[in-house]
Amino acid sequence: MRNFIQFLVKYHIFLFFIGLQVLCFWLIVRNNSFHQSSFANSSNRMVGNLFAFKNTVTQYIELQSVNDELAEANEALKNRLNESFIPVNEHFVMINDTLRERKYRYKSARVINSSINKQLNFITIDKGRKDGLKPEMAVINPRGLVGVVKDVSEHFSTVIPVINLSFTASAELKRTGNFGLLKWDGKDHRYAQLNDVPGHADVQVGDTLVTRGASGIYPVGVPVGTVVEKEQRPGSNFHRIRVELFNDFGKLRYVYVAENLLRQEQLRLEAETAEDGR
Amino acid sequence: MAGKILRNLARFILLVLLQGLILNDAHLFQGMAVPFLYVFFLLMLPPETPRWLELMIGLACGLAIDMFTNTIGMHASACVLLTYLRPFVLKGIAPRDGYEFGMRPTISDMGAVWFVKYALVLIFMHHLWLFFLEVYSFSGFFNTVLRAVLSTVFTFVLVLLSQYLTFPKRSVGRV
Repeated sequence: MRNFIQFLVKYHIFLFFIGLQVLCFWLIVRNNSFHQSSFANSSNRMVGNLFAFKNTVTQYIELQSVNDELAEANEALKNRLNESFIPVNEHFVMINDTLRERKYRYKSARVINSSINKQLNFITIDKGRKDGLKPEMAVINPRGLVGVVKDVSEHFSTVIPVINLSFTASAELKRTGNFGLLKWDGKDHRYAQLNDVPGHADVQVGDTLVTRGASGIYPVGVPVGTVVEKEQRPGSNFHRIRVELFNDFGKLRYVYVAENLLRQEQLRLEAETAEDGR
Repeated sequence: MAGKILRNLARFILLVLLQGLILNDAHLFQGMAVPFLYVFFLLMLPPETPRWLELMIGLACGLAIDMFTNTIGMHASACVLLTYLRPFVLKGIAPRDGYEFGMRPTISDMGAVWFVKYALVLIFMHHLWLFFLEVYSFSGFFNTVLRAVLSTVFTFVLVLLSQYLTFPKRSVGRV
C-alpha cells in the first residue's frame, strides 16, 4: 500500500496527464456519433453569434457573385411559375392537384462560417430548430450538393459538407445509372471520389454525377460533379473515379436546407422489410 | 503577479479570437499548411507555472479552439500534450548554468537559437498529434506527416512575427 501511494505521489503529474487525455478522447469519440449533440460546437450561442458577427463584416466582399448566383436561381424558378405558361386549351382549368403530394420542403439559410483546410471541415448556417431544421436534412445550393445537417441549436446549425472525411452519400452517373459511394479523400477541396462502381460499368471522363437519394436524405438528382479521372486497378472489380465537384466550398454564401417529408415512412418500411427478410 | 495573470489572460482571449475568426480560414498549398498561432499562448506561459495548472490551461485553451472548429476534444488533446511536454523540453535545452528566475521564454531573454529549438519542437509535436487525431488512422501516413511539417513551418513563422511584435526588447515590466 505504501509503495502504491509513493507511486501515485511520484507520478501524479503523469497520471493527471493520462486522465486528461482519456477525457479528451472520450469527448472526441462521443462527438463522432452522428446524433449526439454536443454542448460545445459552433452551433452554440456564443460562438454562433461570433460567427454571425464575422459574417456581417465579410459578406460584402462576395456580394457580386452571390447576386449573380441568386439571379440565376430566380431565373430558373421564374421559368417554372404558373404565370409563365398560357393555357393550351380553353377547356382545361387549374384545379387543386391531388395527384401530387409534397415530398421536399426547402428553407434558405446563410452560411456564417465554413472551412476547407481541415480533414473534418464544417459549415455553420444561421437557421436552427426555430426554423424547423433537424439533424440529417440535406443541404444543397443552386450549383449542387453541399452536405448534411449535423447538430441543430435554437438559431444555428452545423453542416457536414462533402469535404469532410466522415461524409458519405450514394451517387449515380446520370448517363448510365451506375451508382457508388461518394467520399472525400481529405486532400483537395475541389475533388471527391466515387467508390464501388462496378468495373463493367461504362464510365467516361466528363460524365455528370447526381445524388441517388437512397438514404432518403438527399433529393434525387441533385448535381454533384463531373468525372475527371477513372482508373481500374488490376485485380480490382471496381473503378476508382475522381470527381470534380460543382460546388466551390471556398465561397459558399447561401444554401437551401431540404427536408424530405416522406423519409420516416421510407425508413420505417425499410426497417420492416429488413426484419421480415431474416 | 496579478499583472502577469492579466497579461496572459488578455493574450489568451486575443489569440483564441484571432484563431477562431480569422486564422482558421487561412491556408497554403490547398490546405496542406494551416497555421495554429494560438499555441503561441501556451509557449509564452511563464515557465514557473505549476504543472497541474499548466495542463488545465492547455485543456481550456484547446476546448476554446474546438468550439470554433466543431472538433470537440481534438485541439484539447493536442494542447494537453504540448503543456505536458513543455517542462521536459525546457529542461532538455536549458543553458549550462540553468535558467535565472523569472525568465521569459522569448528571444529577447533566451536568444534566437534557444527559441527556435524550443518553439519548433513543441509546435511540431502539437501539430503531428493534432493531424493524426484528425484523420484518425495511419493510412496516408506520409501525407499527414507532410501536412504537419508544412503547418509547423507556417505556424512557426507567425509565432516569430508575433514574438517580435509583442516582446520588442527586454521591457521594464515582465510578462
